[in-house]
Amino acid sequence: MLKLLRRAAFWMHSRRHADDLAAELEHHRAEGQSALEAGGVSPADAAALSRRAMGNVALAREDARGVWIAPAFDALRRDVTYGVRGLRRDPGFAIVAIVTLALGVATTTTVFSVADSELWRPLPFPAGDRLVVISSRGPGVNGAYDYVSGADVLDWRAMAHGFDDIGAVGRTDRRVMRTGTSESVRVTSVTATVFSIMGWPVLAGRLPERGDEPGGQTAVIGERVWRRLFSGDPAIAGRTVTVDGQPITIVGVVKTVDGLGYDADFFEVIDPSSPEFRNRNGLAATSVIGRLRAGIDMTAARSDLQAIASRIADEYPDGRTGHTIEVQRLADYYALFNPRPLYFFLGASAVLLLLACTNVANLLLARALNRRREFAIRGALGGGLGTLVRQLIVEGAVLAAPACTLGLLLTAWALALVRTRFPPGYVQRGTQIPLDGRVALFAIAVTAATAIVFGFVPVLFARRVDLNVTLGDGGRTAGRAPGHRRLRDALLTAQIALTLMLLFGAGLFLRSYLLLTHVPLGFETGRRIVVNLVVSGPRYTGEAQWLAYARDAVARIRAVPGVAEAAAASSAPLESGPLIHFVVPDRPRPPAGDEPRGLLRTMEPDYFRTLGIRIVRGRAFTLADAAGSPRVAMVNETLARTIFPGEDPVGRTIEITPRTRAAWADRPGRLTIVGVLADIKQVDVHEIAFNEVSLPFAQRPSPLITVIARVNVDPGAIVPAARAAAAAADPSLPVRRVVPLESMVSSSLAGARFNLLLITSFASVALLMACVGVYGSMSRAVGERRREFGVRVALGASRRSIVSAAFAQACRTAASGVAAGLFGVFVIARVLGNALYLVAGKHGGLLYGVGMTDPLVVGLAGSILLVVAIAATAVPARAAARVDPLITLRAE
Amino acid sequence: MGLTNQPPDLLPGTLDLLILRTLVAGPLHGYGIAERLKILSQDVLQVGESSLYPALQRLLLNGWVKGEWGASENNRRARYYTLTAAGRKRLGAERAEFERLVFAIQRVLEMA
Repeated sequence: MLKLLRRAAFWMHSRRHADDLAAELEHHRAEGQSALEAGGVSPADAAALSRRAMGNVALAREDARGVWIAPAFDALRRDVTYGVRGLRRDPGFAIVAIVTLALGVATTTTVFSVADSELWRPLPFPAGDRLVVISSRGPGVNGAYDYVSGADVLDWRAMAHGFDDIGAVGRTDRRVMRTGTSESVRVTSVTATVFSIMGWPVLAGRLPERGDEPGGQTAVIGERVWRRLFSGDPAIAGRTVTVDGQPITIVGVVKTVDGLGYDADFFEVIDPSSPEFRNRNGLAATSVIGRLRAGIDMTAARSDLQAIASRIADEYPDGRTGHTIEVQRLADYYALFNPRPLYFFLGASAVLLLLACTNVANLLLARALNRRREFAIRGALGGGLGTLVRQLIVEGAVLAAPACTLGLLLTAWALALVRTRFPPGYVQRGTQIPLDGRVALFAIAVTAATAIVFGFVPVLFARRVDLNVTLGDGGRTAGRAPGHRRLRDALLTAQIALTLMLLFGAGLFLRSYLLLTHVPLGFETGRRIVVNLVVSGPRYTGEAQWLAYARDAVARIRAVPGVAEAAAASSAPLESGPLIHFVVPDRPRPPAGDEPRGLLRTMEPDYFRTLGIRIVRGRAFTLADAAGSPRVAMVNETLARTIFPGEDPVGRTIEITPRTRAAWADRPGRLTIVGVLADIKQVDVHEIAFNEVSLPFAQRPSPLITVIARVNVDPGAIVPAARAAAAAADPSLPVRRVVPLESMVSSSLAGARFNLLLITSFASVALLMACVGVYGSMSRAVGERRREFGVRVALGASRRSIVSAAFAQACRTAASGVAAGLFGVFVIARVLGNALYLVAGKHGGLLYGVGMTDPLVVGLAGSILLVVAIAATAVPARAAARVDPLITLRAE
Repeated sequence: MGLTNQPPDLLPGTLDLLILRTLVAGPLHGYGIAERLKILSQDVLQVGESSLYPALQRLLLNGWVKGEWGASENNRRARYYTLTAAGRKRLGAERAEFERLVFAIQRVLEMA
């Protein structure tokens, strides 16, 4: 250790040491001269003699220095210099190898970083793995998640042992905040305990305290709204704003975590002593969160809670009898709904990295073969194998270092892009993806290993070759040693095979995207706009006011020049809606919880005509289906087919069951079916058709109002006028969104488009690499056979036959690569099975309507690759045809 | 190549031992060490600077000697080497080892 310090000190003062040593040696000589003079030699002779006596002073100095600096260091520096010089002499090779490796590193690191933050990274909270979501599910096989009453939450909190604390999160509503302008903000009511459970960092002000609770007039706001509407004012605490006409005092700002639910604009603090919250049958908590006590097992905590909940249910029988309690980690609860794309792209990026490594290995191999003469000469001059291997390892590192640096820079850039460009909902925590250090290390290790191992392994072959042969024929036949050829061909074949697999993947995505864009939606999209409105506040207390506002808004939008028709609804197609349970009253009732479900949508009579939705049977709603008249419903074809198979649903009755406690959607009661409408895409373009129950808007108005308008002009151009018209209905209410319906369809496909973009870019990079690989490999092969071609031409072979000989070789390799790739595709297809679909062979998370071994895609990918491989051979083949027999033969 | 550059073959490591031994009496500069070895060995050991100075650097690196610049008896600037405590210990150890080795060699020469 001390020795190391002394060495380091020497390094720092190496200049002074050199001077000291020189002075010392000169002193030695001077003493010698003095001794000679004392013996009677003349001063001049003494000087000369003493100098001669000293022998090789430079060597002595070098040796003395070598004591301090391991000579290996100097050799290393020499190797690095030599390696850099070698790369500079062969810039084509250097650039291709470095860029290839960098791309491999970048894709793998990027995709892994995303996957890691989505799938494996713990929540960014202190002890985030102890945060759990507690849910209460109704009876039945797929019992619906139910609200929890505030009284239950309070009892759980008082009686359960396994938790540090339990808190209730209430409904999230859109409300209107007035601060000069009207802003639509999302307000979530929470108990004060939620803040301590979540442990969100406080950016300004403070968290609510005990005294804040009564009256529910205090709130904590989220970071985003703080920055957007209050320009990040650090002194915001104590400020009072008006939300839905009610003054609310802001006490602090918290930094919530994106993508985990709980990221409201306003957190309104619930007063736990209010009768509304304490109501045993109330709907206080849509979700209950808790922090497990350290060391407490989740299942134990769950059974404890279950026992408590059952006791409560026994005590209050009309409440939640037969409910089961579920406890899930917060991270799992909010985990990505469909993690398959991430796993898929993880695999694809790994293939790309493998491809990059193969490519560089092939390049290095070829380079090593070209340098065979150099190695042979070095061997002949007595160069040791160790020195050679060491030098090649250093050369590999010289290649890997810039590649890794470039790769990591590319990764940082790609992640910045990913954070801003991911389509919404594609990943949960998209805005917070860090560059993953572990995977960066892994990717660097892989590339460095490739560069280094394939740099020196060929030399081990090369050394076995007889020096006389190699030197004797000028190294011209060196590459024909069968061992190398086979290794090189194998690498090239692997490269083509891997490329084919990526190309095939891209083909599948392209095909499924094209199919998606041609899916029949069930409604017209061109020249339609969607205006999303929401009412709240003291002036809109009930259905009558909501309806009046909706009618006013529709009338104003219809009056905008260019608008042909307009109608209000609870939601537009692709916008989803609340789920309800229903039964057919004249049939035996299924067990509670197992009733059929359907998506609920309400609309004005003109809705169907405005959107071009087909009425299959019966009639559409009319203005006569008003608030007081008999309650009617329309159902979609899927519901008609599954619930009333072989029967005419028109005239039948369905009953919405009261068990879903949703606020406005759950008004139970019997409805007469008056018509059947065609299936439309309700949530997503690639959804599977499911039940829809439609009600007249007038019989059940909702505070969420969507106006759909058919226009005669460019829908994009009419958006501002429509927005102004909607705002004029009540300037104090915000207009949530005005968009052309086409752009909603387009954003529904954003995820698919993004997948396509990803896989296509992977495949393009792969194809480019394959091109470079094939071209390089083939030109080398042709170069090696130059003499053979020369002899052939001299013996009368036609140019054509030479070209076809060169092509034949390329075709053989390409064909075997394609065959291996196809085999790989089928193996992977077999292994993945239906993992890329949500519904086998039809719908999907990733793929839509295209088979895993779609013959069209297989054929296309294979032929593209063959064509590219053969095209890449064209240049070398022409070179072969131009071989001048005189020149080649003279070289013999 | 000067004659002094061909020292008699020394057993490996013995030069270090000899240098350490010459320094027991007191600090010496490089030339002084060479002279002392030559005189004491009655001209048998003529250590050239090409092995002496690397050896001295090695001893410095190991911390067995210290080097300080001073004026020589001829009033020249010279680096004087002094034995450190660690060097003294090392000398003892090496000397014991050397004597064991010499004894063993002698035994072989006499008895074989």
